[in-house]
Amino acid sequence: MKSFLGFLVLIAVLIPSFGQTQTEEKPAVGGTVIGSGFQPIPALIPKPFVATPDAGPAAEELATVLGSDLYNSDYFEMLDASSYPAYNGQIKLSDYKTSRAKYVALLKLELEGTQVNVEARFYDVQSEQLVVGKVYKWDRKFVRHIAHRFGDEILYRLWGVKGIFTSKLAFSSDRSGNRDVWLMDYDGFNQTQVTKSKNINLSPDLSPDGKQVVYTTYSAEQAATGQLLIVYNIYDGKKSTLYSQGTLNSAPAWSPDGNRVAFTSNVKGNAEIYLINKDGSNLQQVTFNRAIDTSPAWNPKTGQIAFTSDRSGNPMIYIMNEDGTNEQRLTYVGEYNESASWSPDGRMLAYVSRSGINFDIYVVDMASNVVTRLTQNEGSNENPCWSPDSRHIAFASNRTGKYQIWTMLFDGTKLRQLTRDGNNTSASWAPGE
Amino acid sequence: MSAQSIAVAQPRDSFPFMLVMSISAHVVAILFALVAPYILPKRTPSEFGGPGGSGGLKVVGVIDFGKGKPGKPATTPKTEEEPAPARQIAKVNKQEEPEDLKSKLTLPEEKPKKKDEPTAKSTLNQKERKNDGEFGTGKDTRKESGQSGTDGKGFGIKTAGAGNGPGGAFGTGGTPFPFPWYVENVLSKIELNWVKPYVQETTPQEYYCVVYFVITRAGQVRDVKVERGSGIPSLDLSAESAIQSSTPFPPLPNQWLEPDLAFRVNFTYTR
Repeated sequence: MKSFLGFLVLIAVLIPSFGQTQTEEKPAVGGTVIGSGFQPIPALIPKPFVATPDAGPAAEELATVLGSDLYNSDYFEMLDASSYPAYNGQIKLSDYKTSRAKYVALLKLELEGTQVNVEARFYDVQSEQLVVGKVYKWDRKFVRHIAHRFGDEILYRLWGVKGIFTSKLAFSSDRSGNRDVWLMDYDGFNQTQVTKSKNINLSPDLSPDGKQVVYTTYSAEQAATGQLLIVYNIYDGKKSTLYSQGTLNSAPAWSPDGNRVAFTSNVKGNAEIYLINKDGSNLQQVTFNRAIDTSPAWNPKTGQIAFTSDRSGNPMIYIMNEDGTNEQRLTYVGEYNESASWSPDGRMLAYVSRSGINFDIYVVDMASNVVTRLTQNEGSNENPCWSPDSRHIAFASNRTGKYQIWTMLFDGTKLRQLTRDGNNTSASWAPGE
Repeated sequence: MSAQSIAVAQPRDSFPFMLVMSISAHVVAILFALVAPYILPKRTPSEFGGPGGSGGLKVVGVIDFGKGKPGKPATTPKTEEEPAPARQIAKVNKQEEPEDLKSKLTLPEEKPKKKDEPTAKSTLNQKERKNDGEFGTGKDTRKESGQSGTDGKGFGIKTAGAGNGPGGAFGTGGTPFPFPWYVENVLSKIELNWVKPYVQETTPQEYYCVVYFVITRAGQVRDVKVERGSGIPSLDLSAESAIQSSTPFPPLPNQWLEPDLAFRVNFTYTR
């Protein structure tokens, strides 16, 4: 009996404490999400304050590039600043509270010889809290770079994302007379020739750190009939032959860790996919099929490799583990699908599908298998590649006549043409510093 | 007379001995003062700025503070970290050298020049001192906003909100979280990444699911858990996935002294 009473007492003590434990909530910031999607945030860049009269052009360039960056990111809706007071060096956020702007960027510039001194602030208008403030004292010629750096900082402080404003694209261009590898900023500025030779240099792929490029070239010794792979250090000029056996060595693609390269080779007769260490060691064949297997693309998250194979009769996109196991067919619609490119977050895969004589770009959501067509009736659109933030796609299109590099958002909007000289194809996108 | 004998002959309380000792001590002190900034560890802004006094205050701004000269309190704005070392596209070989590469690809020097260090004359600095949050100076420059203090760490205002805005904003320690823009951006990023599931049930028309999680200072997430399920597993899973997919979140504001920030987000699914 005593033990039974003791049990009841124990229950009586425990029940309230259980109840208290269940109902007591840890302090936390509260909020509600309704799944309405993301809407770009209104932002304003008033005319910058110019502390020295000769800094006017640099100020205009800084504000223009920063505004363009924020707009291109699709995180911001940039408002027309002409109807609001210019920044005069005195921080008075009440001037902008009548606008729709959620955020305002206040920029001050002065020139000291060839050096530009920039004070850049980014404010939440309503709370008047400074989200981020930076001081840059750089050479005048780096004003665009200052804007890119500050833009990247804004995105990081607001959403924790690494912006693409300092990222680089490599591409193949014939503008110099020969087909060479070129490099440019994400917005098409600073287009610079990387290789210059009498050989054809094709299919450049930037390493994940953006410091190396691997590409296909034709060796003089093999009388333009043999392809070989070159790894080139962009910033110190070291060049090495990665692989030269066989007559076909194409479509190189860096592994996500930057230590290996996947490529197509016919070294054993048929075109198969191989892996090789970046120092040329440890060649490993990963596809074994009588059909043509080509165009490998790594999934940065899972290490899987997507590739093109005509084993079903027509070229289609397949997926396999990096050791060649677990091959699965991904696309069934269309007569000719190729050029797979995995988004850096691993969620989406872009590829091209031929309709008539032209190719168009499609994206498949890997979780839902929903396929979305991004281009249509605008020439041939080829070689898609994802931006480092998985929100943009670069591609080559001949919609204006010659092939040029374009970019668009992952939903097909915000088209921008980056190149205009010669034919430009095979873009590869890597993060900046 | 040898120097040694003189030294021995001098009593320790004599005037010459005391004079020598005094001069020596001063020399040592001056030398120490000169080299101290270079040998002592640099202090971080938080070491200079206290957590503030009473709560109920409003932060109106903060700036990243620079390293300044060694040993100097970081009261001046921080110069942006310089980018990678000066680099340019290399030559393939002399014959293949593209023209004008240096001017196109060279980036700024890695190490800032001494003259690049921020100065007290900066209008940015003066402005921050006058009107804005001066984190790192030991002063409490925050403005009153009419709310009572809590534990001395509070930066003040509670962010209040309705609808899909931030609600009662408190950190894990119960400290009011005064940065409404941060909360809004966390919620907007979750909105961006929430993939609503297909729900077959016909009634009711709305489902609710509450997810608790903690954001660390660097924006990483831990302790994600569904506190109140909707009754539909796919919906609960999608809400949890939205948090994971949104990681990393923005880093916590520099002025927020707590190591993390807890969130409790209500996912509302309307048919």
